[in-house]
Amino acid sequence: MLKLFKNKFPSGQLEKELLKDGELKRLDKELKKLIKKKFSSKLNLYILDAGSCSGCELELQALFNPLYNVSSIGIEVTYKIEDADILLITGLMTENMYLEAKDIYKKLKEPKRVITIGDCPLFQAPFKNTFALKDDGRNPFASEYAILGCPPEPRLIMRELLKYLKKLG
Amino acid sequence: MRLIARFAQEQEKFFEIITVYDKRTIIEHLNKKTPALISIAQDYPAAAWFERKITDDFGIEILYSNDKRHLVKHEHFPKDIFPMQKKYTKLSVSHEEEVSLSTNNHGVILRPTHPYLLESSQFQLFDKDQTILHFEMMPFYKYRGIEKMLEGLTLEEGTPIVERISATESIAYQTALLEIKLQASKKVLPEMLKKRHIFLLEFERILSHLSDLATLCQLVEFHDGSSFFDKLLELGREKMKELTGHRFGFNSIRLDNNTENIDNVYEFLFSLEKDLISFEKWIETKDNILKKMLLLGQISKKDAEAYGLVGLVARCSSINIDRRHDDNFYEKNDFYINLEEAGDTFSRFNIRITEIFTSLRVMRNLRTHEMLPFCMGTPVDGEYYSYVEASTGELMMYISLKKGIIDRFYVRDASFLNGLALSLAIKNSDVSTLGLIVKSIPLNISAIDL
Repeated sequence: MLKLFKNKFPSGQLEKELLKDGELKRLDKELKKLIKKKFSSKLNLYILDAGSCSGCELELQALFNPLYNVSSIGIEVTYKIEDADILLITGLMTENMYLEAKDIYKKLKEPKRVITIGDCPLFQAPFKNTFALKDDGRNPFASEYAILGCPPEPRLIMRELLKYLKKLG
Repeated sequence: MRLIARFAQEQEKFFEIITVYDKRTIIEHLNKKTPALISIAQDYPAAAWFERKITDDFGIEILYSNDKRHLVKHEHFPKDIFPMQKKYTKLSVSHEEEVSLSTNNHGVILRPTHPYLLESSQFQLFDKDQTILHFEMMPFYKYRGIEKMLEGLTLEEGTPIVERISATESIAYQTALLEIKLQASKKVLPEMLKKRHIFLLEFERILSHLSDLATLCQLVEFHDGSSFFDKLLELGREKMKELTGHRFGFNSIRLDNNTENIDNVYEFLFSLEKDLISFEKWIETKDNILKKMLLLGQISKKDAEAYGLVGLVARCSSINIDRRHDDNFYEKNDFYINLEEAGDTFSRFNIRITEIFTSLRVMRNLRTHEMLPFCMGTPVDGEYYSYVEASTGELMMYISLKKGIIDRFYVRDASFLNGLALSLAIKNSDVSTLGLIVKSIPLNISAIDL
């Protein structure tokens, strides 16, 4: 099928423009090595959208597109929090999501590894306090690392994830 | 008449209920002591969500309503506060005691973090022998209180918040806000700027459709198709960044746009057109893939009209509705409405491809390198409405300005109506097809929840 697909599509430009550059190749190599060493070759991420504009989720989703293709280096998204190695939190923490988020955090296995994604969980981005946010909307759970950006681009997420994994004991 | 929106705002001595139809707007005044409003949900089913929100926000009782459940306030949200009232100024809702998550023993609850959703929302379904008897979306898990957040700000101060209501529709929201700024300052946008902004709006629509097409291909296990659209989407996001400095076009609807990189973007668009033509020819030979979507999740024209559906969901049920049609500028630039008849998942797949071609045709005419300085001027107090055809459908924005600051901000995203349409599309379907039907309907939960 793949052969047929390639024959039918004049996708020369696509293939050319989506080639991994030197930095992406290096990131792939180093991340793969660390994931193999510290997570037995498979790193399960659980994404919790606490109240985002969906930009962060879309950039996390883009990590799995044919360019970044982080599945090939052992990164997966899990929908079972019990299986997660790292909990990623995006967006402002809303009052309506708080109990759900608390429940998920509670079920995260030890050691509880939490990374916040984007500017919202750390300093609200341009948003302001309202009644609808839990306290001031910032992430209420203990987190080990923050990947900033509004939203952070996939390449930046990979760079920062590498830095974080290097720090892990 | 088609119901566009129904919302409340507080004046000094009364509550005002604003009901916007396509042909007229009706304003009702309610006393503040015992505010009560007669439901219109029997005539307009879509009014149910609007009315439930009015009650949660302002404490206005809805009379003769069959559905008095909370919409905005979830399990542990205090029910006795009405946060959109002016007198409510607290920055958090206090809890006297910890309340735990409730469970529903009568059906299946897909919690806010279910894999069918990219964003947090909740679905409830009731099934018998794998056939879905009833399906409902429970929005507002991501309720950030944006309407209240904007009160007291100037239009300029509110702009970064409005453009981040939803990343996938940021340009549409920026465009709607700009239209209100123009009305408030009694200005008309020069044609070259309008060209630029429409170009960006159509580009956003293309990216949104590519993203949906990739997901739909994945759900029918057409992985090569999914990969194909994902690649185009990634290239498109990078081109958007070249053009605007941001992959989602944040802060791109400006009065001083740089047009330097537009030629590179046109190269991408021409190649996209060629790729899509080949894709269309190729998928015609893939009966097994098409069959999975044919007649699935159908919405009849009658139901679509009754629920006041908008956007491509309505157009797939042969309803001739598209805000771009009302804009002479689009008409002058080769635009016409794309329609489908079957109202099924395949129509919603197909129309996205057709609409990309339509956007490309319009964009072809918008190439410009000219720029002129343009100043907005001081906004004048008043009530302003704007409409934009976003990728999900008709977006309506309302702002009341008093003493130069926002007194009331309200926006109705197409997803607010499309969310209601889910139950129509899903009823009597097999549970295994749920994800495919859900994803065929453009839903932007951050824009529903605000």
